[in-house]
Amino acid sequence: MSRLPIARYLFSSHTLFLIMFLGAFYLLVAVVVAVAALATPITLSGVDVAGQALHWLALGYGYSAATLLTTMIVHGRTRREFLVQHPLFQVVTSAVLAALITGVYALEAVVYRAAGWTRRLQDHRIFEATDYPTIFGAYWSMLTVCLMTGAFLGAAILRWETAGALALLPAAVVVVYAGAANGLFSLPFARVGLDVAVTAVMVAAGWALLWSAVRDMPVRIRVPA
Amino acid sequence: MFDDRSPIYRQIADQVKDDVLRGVLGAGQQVMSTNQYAAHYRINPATAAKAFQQLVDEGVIYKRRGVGMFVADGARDRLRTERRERFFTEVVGPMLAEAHALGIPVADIVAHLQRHDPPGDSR
Amino acid sequence: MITTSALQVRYGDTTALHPLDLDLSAGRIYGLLGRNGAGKTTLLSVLAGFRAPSAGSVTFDGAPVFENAAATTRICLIRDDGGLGDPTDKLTDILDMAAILRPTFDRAFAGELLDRFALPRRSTLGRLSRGQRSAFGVTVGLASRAALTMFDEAHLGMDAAARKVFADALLADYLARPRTFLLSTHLIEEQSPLFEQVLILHQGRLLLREDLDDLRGRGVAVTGPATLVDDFVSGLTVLAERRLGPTKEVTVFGGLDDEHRRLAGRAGLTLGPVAVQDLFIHLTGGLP
Repeated sequence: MSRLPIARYLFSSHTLFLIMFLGAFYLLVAVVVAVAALATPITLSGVDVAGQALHWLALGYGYSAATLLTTMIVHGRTRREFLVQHPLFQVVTSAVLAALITGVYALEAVVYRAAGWTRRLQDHRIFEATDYPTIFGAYWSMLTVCLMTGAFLGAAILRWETAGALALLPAAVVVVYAGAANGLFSLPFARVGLDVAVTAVMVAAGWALLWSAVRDMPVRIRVPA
Repeated sequence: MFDDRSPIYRQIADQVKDDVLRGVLGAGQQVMSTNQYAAHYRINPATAAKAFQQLVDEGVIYKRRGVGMFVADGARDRLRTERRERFFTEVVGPMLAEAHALGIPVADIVAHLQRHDPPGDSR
Repeated sequence: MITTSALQVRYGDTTALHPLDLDLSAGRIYGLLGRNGAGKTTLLSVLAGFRAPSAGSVTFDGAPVFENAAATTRICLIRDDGGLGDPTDKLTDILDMAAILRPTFDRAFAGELLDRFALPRRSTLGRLSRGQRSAFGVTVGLASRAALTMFDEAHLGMDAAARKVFADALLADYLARPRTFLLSTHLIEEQSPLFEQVLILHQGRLLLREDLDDLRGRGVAVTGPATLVDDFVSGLTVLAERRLGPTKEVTVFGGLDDEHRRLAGRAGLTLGPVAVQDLFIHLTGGLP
């Protein structure tokens, strides 16, 4: 019997979808920057500004993992398998996407230099515009934490319904605290600099929350619209 | 195809017997397999199997392993004898009771039957 | 092959399934009957590992089902609640996914079934009609080729033609690859010939389990003058009574022995068969 069926399915379809989605996202950013350049001189990194939207998108996509779990169970898989293979997919896919994002930062540097534009990053970034290893690490950390936390939120709402809204509290703690490390979702008072240990602990905390919501979750009777 | 009341296996067995009796299925001729029967009439194969087992037990058909099921020699004659006996108790009996209730004399019935019996078909 | 022992399911304070001991054997088609709210979906869900038992156990070939992939990959439950995939997924993509997730899934057979049900391959799950969604559920369920395949109201919304395609496909595949099926249905007259055995669930308890053909012979309607009928049925299990003037019809359960049949004949009472559906209604409390 083949191994890791859930992860294989996710890599073969969802990872490809997310890569294409991200490509389209940055294409849109390029168009916006080009249009803006017609009216005013460019002083900010468009890619870096757009980065602010990514954690919301990652949270939102992560949120859908809970219904995906239902589908996996219907097709004979278990919650336990999901709790191993979905996080594996998250970590690997986040790395692929972070590499893509890093490449877009590099591409943007070339374009801005050619156009003679100034390229300033957001004030609270923990990386310089050409510090590619840190850019990669920061995005990898942010994407993984947001996917995991989003998945937990989705599972909590699906499982506990209205009371699941309480899950927002631990979820916010995880996202903000991890943001303090990767600088992509940080409050001014909490900033620690890219710390692998903090990221790892927050990912683990997100996983533990997800586990608590999912480990014996019943497949509910949902009446389709 | 089947009425929704009496056991299906009995209805299947009766149909096959009717076919043998009327000569639709001749001696030595192969009958449909259990699976064909089940698929054709959309019934559970175990139910069809039960019917054919009953027919085997009663000697109407016999099995040839790996080949199929066939109508037994003399099955038709045996069924006829059996049905003839039942004809008077199950068909004529109730008819006479009904005629009695309606006040129809037996002579009228006999006259009616003689008028309507197609000639030359009483083998 | 699948066995429950003192199995219970509770939702908060309400008990959906009272302690149940059940053992289904391999290679048979079972029918699951019950009124709305009798606990059919709950039973099927817990058998499939969709939910954990509140008490007791469900085992498949001796191993617990819940959270055991070795068991759940050999069990398939198709329920009417859209869990097969995301509404935005294309049908063919869902089948490709199922082929990755289930070791026994037959992708080519699933494609054939799509055509047999005339389902639009390129459509998304969300755009299907009620009956088409059911047909797609049957497609996934049969192509899963699971050792235990369960359909909860598989035919919901299907028209008569699609229901015949379903019955034909089910029987053909069952004959080619014998395995265990458990089908819940409200269309008793139409679907019951498919069953070898029926289970009737009533208010969370197993009311009856019997070979379908035996059940067909179990009900007798006794009709005649009221006083004679009353005398005749005393001591028998009476399910229902109806009066029309001086005539009374009583539904008796359990079949009649030869002695009773002789008595009925002598008293001039009429004995008639009772349809399985009527028997079911009477057994589960009659009409309101």
